Amino acid sequence: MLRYFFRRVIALVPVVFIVSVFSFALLYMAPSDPITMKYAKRGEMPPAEVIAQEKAALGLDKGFVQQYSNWLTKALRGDWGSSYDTNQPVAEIMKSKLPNTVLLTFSAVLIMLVFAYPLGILAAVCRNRWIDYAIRLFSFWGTAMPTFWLGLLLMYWMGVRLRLLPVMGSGDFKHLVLPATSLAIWMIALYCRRIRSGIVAEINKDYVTGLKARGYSNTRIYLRHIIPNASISILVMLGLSIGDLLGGSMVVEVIFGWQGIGSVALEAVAYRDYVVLQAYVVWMAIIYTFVNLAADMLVCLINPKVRLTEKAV
Amino acid sequence: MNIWIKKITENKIFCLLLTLNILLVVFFLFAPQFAPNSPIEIHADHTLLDSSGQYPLGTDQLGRCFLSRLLYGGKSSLLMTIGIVVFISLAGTTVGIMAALAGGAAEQIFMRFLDVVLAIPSMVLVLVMVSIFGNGIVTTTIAIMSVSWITYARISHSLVLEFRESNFIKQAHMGGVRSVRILFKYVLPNVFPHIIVVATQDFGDKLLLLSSLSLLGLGAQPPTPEWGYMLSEGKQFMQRAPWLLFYPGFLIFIHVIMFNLLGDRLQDILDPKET
Repeated sequence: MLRYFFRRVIALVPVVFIVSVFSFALLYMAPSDPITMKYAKRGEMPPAEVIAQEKAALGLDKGFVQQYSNWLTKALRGDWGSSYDTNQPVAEIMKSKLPNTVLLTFSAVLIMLVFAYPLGILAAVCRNRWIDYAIRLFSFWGTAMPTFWLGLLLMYWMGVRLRLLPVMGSGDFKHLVLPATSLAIWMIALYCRRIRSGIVAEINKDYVTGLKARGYSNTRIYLRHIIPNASISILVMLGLSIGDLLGGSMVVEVIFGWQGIGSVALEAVAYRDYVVLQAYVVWMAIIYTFVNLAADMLVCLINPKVRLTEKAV
Repeated sequence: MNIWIKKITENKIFCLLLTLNILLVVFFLFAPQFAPNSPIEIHADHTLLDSSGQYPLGTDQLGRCFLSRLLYGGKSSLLMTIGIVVFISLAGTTVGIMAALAGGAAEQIFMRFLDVVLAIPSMVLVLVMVSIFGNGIVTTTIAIMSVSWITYARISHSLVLEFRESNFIKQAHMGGVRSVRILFKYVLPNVFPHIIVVATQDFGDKLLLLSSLSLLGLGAQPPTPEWGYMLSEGKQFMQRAPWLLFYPGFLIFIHVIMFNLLGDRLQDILDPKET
């Protein structure tokens, strides 16, 4: 287990390295640079020599490798540069906005787990009866429903019509409910279908017949054997879904005015604020890879097959 | 290949769905013809009107005929989505097959590289590409294309690997069939059905991606009507004119659900192992 963990972490090093090169290349090749942006904002353009001088002072005239290593050493120390637009240190922006996005996505996952499991299990147990068809219909509807439209409709009904929840804003629990729900519904729809088919695939396996023959109760078979076995593939998929969720959260953040990293990134695109965008790319990649690592580790814990083959290798 | 076509044409529900889908898309490609008013003409004294004879679905915040805007609003997104799906499935599949045929270190390095690119969530990558190419419906389309072919490359690559090890290919090799002939005669006909299933199911996803980027202001630029962007405009007036929210979203939803239905049906026919 520990060896597997270390091997996986070591395998991540090239990934993080290439992502960092990629996002630095973005800044390097970007049509805007901090000095020109600074003057453009003030609305005056000094002579070319002054700009060249200031660029040299920041080390912007050096070669790619030199600039990259400078940038990397600074970034590793937590200095990500300052936004071209607001002049605020990027690390500070990340520190204040990133937790909100993480909170939003993880609440969505939590809501998904709370609803998708009971629905998926119910559909599998009552398969090919009306309740199964109803759940499958819901799942079909949910996967086709545009997240942004659902968010707007929820906002209209819950916020404007019924006045149950605040329409926009960010911070406390009340503001979290609507954005997290609109993100979660799509996932509930997707996962209750997957959980259902995972369980249905397990039900017909020989070990279930064996357990039944030995007189174990249905509840016990489900809780101790079928559901954990079906959960393995769900867990792997969940890790991969986090990427879609982190990206998808941007739309929801903008619609609901949730102060997350997505809306920051969108503004960065609008102002061609490449320093901020760069930090955004790196952090999204880091979160995504580490969530996937965590998912794989959990699979390894649950599934003895992975553990044993890993030992044999 | 003929077996697939026969299987498809024999399935009545699929043929019905396919016809409906084509009708739906063709309707919205030609819908501007039926628009009663100009979609961009501004009437400052007719803002946010309810439905009437002159404006069947009312007007938006600038007094523009909402029905006309809806009818115009699908054309560009649908065309762009079709373009995206066709391009990425063809380009991605070609690259994937070529990587698998190249073999050796080149294949390994290239596929590893794609894995690393996929360590960045695709929406984030698309956003980066938009920041490089600029806002606008065409540049956003290019941004989406430049990122999403990778999925197809990986799928077709793994399919070819799977077939490379299968007995009928090995037998063909032993029988002295030339590699080019094996590729066109045995490998491609087996890869294509899977790719078509994935592409059909992908249509809805790509339409959603494109409209969400438009909603964020990165896609179609005003005053061009576009369903996604119309939603973000409608949001500000949801108290007075909720219809501005209902219809554009509903039209996107209908297209996505129709193509998902078609894709699922196609999967049942061509790739029945997953139920």
